Amino acid sequence: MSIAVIRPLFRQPHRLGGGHRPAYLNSSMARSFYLNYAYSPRPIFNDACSLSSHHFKPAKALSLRTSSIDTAVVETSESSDFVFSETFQLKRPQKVEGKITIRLESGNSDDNWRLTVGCCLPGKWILHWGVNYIGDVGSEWDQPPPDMRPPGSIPIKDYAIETPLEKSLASSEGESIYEVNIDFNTNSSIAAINFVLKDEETGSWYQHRGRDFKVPLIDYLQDDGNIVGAKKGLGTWPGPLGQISNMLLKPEAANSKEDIGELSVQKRGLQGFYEEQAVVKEILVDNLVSVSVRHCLETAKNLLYIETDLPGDVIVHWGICKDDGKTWEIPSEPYPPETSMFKDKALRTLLQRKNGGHGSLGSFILDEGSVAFVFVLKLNENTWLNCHGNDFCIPLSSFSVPPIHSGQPHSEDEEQNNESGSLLISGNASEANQEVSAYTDEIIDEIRNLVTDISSEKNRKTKSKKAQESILQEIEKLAAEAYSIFRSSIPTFTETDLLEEEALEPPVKISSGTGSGFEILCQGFNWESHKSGKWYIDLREKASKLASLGFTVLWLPPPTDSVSSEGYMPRDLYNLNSRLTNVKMHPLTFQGRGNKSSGDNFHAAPNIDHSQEFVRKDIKEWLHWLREEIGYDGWRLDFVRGFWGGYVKDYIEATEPYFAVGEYWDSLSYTYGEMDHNQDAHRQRIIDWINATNGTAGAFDVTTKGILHSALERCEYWRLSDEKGKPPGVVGWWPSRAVTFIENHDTGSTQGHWRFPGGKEIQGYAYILTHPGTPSVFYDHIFSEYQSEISTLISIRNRNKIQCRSTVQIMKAERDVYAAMTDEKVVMKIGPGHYEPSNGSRNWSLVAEGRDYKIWETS
Amino acid sequence: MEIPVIRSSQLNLGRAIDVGFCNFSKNLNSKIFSVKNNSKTCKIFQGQSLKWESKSATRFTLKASATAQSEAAVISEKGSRNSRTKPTDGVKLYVGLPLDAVSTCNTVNHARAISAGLKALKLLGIDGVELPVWWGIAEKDKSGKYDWTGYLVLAEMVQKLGLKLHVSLCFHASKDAKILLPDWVSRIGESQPDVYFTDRSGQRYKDCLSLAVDDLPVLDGKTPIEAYAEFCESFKASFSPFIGSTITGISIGLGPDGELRYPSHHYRSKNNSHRGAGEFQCYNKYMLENLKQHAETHGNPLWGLSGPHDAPGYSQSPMSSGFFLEHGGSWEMPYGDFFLSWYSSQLISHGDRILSVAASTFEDTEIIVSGKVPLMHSWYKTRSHPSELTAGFYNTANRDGYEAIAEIFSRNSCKIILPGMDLSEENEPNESRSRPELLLAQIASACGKHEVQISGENSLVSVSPRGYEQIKKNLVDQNVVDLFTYQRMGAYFFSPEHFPSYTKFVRSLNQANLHSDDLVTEEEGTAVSLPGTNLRMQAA
Repeated sequence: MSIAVIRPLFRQPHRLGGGHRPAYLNSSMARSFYLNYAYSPRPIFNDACSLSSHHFKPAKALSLRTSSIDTAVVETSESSDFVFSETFQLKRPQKVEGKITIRLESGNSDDNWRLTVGCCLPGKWILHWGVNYIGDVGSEWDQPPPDMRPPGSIPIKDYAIETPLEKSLASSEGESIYEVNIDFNTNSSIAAINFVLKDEETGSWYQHRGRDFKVPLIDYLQDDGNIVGAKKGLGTWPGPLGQISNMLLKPEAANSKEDIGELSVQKRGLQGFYEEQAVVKEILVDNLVSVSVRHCLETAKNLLYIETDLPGDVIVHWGICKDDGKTWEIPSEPYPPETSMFKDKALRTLLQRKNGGHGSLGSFILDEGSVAFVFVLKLNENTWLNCHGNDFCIPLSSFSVPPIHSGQPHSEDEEQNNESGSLLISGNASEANQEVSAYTDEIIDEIRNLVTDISSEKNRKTKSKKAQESILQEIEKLAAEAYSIFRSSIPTFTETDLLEEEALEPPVKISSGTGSGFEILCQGFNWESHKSGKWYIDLREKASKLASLGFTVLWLPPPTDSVSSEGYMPRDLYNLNSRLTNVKMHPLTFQGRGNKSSGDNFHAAPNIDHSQEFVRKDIKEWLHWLREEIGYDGWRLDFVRGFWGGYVKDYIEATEPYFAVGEYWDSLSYTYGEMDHNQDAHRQRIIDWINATNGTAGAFDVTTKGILHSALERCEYWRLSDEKGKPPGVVGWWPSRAVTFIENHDTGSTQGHWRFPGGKEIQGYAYILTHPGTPSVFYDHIFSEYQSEISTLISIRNRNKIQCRSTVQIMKAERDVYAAMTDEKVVMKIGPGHYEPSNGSRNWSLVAEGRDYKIWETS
Repeated sequence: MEIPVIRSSQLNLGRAIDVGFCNFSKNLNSKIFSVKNNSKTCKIFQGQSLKWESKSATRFTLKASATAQSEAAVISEKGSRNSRTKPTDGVKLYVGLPLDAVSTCNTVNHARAISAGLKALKLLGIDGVELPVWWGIAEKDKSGKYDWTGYLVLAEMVQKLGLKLHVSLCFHASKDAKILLPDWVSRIGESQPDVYFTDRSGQRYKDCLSLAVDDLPVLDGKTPIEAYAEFCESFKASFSPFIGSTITGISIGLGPDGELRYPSHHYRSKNNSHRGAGEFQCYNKYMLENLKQHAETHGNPLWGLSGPHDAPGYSQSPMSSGFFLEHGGSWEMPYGDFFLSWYSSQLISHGDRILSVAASTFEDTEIIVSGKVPLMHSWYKTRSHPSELTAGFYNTANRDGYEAIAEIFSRNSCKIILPGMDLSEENEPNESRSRPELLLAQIASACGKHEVQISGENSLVSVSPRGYEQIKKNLVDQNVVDLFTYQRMGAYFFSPEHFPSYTKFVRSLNQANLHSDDLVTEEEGTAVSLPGTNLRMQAA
């Protein structure tokens, strides 16, 4: 349910992906084509009834700038009497009906059967499925035997499989069918196949009467209503408040409730069937509207043409501005045919259908003296189209052509894009939040403006109405944001398989998931780094310092935002920091369309469709190029949820980095405002992601950071031990893949989205630098008054050979003190409370001490 | 009367928006003040209000008559100090912030969530938020050592968004939010357990100090009243930049959960089944001494030896023993009257003491002081009203116990905060003989008599659709309710299960009062109107 609108470049240039692009241009021109793919306009969460607008502003004279990256296309007119001519791209929401097809048929022999699930709507369809085995007790899904899993399947925890639907060869008449085939043998002991269909593009889950689809393969009597075969309605989940529910849709734990274990089961002669389920999806259709203005010298009037390819009746709801472009006024007659007055506020003109039926057009004669022609398009009662939340505003002034055609502002934008590349490249949820709040402030200001502006009564209603709409959207977004921070969510945790996996892990010396195991990361840039333009030079000067402090991995900013005017490229640095281990991390922003149902991704990112093989191939090539040619040794993967870990695995395997780490932002669990002690759900999600990469990548331990926040800030050190007496973050479950950190360029630095409690940073480092996992130290902290303390901590870590798989034993976790022993060599305590290691067999000596922390070594 | 100015406020922007209208009400206020000061009678003033009322009725014929009623009430209320506000705005809507918005380490908890939440509320048209300020956090470590940092941060957040702030000064502890009394107070409590309320079996209620020690120097030489007063003073000094602008109201903690009552139920039953009616809490050393003295002055020294011997226990049905019996219960006997009069008067004078401390502290500011009165609605159907009696409200079939309560609020020019706006009989279990609606009406009527304004709150965390209807009804019917605080912000509040219904509630509250010109026409197809912006219209 979204309407995307034209995004004026000047409003938020660096958020649009424009800043992203130069990266690719620099690396390889040829690749830019695919990456442009990422710039498809971001859907904005909207009700059908709302005029999509993130950025509501009352009709200020909106100067339309044009750019080749953006959607507006300039038709530079040769003819001198063209005052204005421009084509705007429109995104029209359209409900598309389609169907989900389910076919069961026998294959080449009696025992081999095939289940085909298809969908005829475009989308990134994923089949989320599992099976019940004969004799299963309980209702849990199980994973199917490996030979049943179609290629490309990814296991989800231990009970489900996700298989992307592929475009079927059977697609015909321009209509593509996506489908997946599951082949199985009736001799296997499978009782039923359960599935739901997921559209990764929108995050919607399609279910069968609110339940899983269930295809029974044996006779049994229980029918809980979700067995495929009965004709029943199907749709996306309804929500109480359209948009909110859309955003907050939580994928239901995919467990069917049946208990088929006790039934006497009997293979039945399986009967093939074919079922169709109607499904409705809202998609955006591209349309155009072009507006041109001609000045007629003889009559001293302006002639304005509007032409659009929008189907059906199109009403132009319009007026003119005479002064500052703020006030809609009714022009003098004559009006075009089919024009009516709307409440003395505006005129409504029905455009004439073009001959041939495709689209409509209309012409308007306007007096000189009007500054602008303002309009919005109305398609039906619920659908209005506007220009990025603003009215379309067409300048009419015959004497001064606005500078919008000069191209100057455009290039400024470009520069800005370059400058803010880093911002975009690590653009993730927290940035989006920032955006939301900045934007909200704007709205609130607007309300104030509206309040005080009581002079233009006529215009007020129009304005306030639109304000209302954008405000409602904003309320919902904010509520969802607040909820996602406050709430708790509870998927199941499967600890055992993780432990097994850890045990099975061969003793690799170096793996992309862990590096050597003894890495200490330095995040070598902060939010301001792109500003200096000479960051690499600065860093080069500091490289020896960093190496001497004991860092092994330096994480550099993306090369593209450090290309200075002097033309320094990472290549120049490569040989200069040889005292480091030559490992450089490159942040990659692969933002899939986040799973909106989780409610915390408010701004869908430029979308790279990872499910498309050619896209993946291209990215792989590019990464490979970065690694081979530029000399990057590792990747840091910025991503949002919805980016399938399985694809990361592809990239990593293709490029064999020395070290790869992903950043998975998610909200911790809260119950009524209080952070839950148990954050298993949170770390589980991160671990699921690592799992999906097959352990080829580590992940930032956001859980530990979050818990440290609460523990230190609120003096609740008991939080640092989970119910099993282990560290409560990812580091407690899968230490070798946990990259522990307390701050990075998103959370700290000048961004400060989620800043570590002030003054307690060293306690945080005392924790992560003495614990297993791979610690990462933030640049700002290294070059601060904390340097000597951090240096001491690092040397303690190195001296005692504490590594990512070290064992940690929690000695004390109470209200005001936490103490732990690592590898039986180091004991640390943080918090104001008292703790001393008992000098039994070992002789502990205090080696570091500071505000609310102490560290001892065995001597 | 500048009617034309009102006219201009009819636009669909409403609430907190119409500059012209604000000016108008200021003018109105200043006029009233001058009238009041010069004549010292209410007659002229009444005349004005009538005139106004009739005008408003003719001008806005489409409005519910309830609007006009509330107008009258609002204006007649001007006689009290409360007239400093602009009551012409209709019912103001507030939302409570999380109880633990500030942590025990004096930092803001989940600031990002609160910040987003505040913005959402602002956009929804909510007027302000309620912030619980805890004794156990702001004066945690040492008597007289205050730390307001966390609260100041929050106040600033609220101010920046242009919201109003109602501060609840909490002198109690909260088990739900894991907030304790100040450490130094708890230490004193350990050595002198008689500072706490005590029941017949000797159990202490440790979540607030007993009203019996109000004027005893139990806190290292200070009396609790002095400690509360200093707390208020420090608050006032620290928040002076916000007072009158952002901070428009203060609630002063009056007892358990901030409410003016005895902790007759030590532990509130979670499942809402108020089986018992609670116990009398007159058994600490000081209460018993006081009772003894009182009985001796009363000429019945034997009555002062203990509390009622035939009162039922917490879990017993009130009718299971003699005191509360419908007919012939001790409560109707002279002893019962003696005891209940004393017991309730202790509560009343306690309330009066604290309210007057707060009122005098904030006398020179724009702030209105409020205090919370509980809605002890279970067993209201019986003649003896046992739940109210144990809580300290001598309100029975024979006697109105709330007049005296309203009177102390009126005397101190304070407002009453009244919970339970969402409760109706239908969802009360029959056996509890509960009549929340009736009780609420009774208290409201006492308030009306004494010109005390009411701020409503909901009692249940999860307000049902029926509950919202009830709230709406109360806001319209109880014409002394000028503010409603919804409790409270948190994960559930913003959850998809809840927030849409709250939004709907706020919007419906407003749309009901829309001028026809402000209603969205069907033609427009936009089923939305800016919620919250129209409440002001209600009064216009």
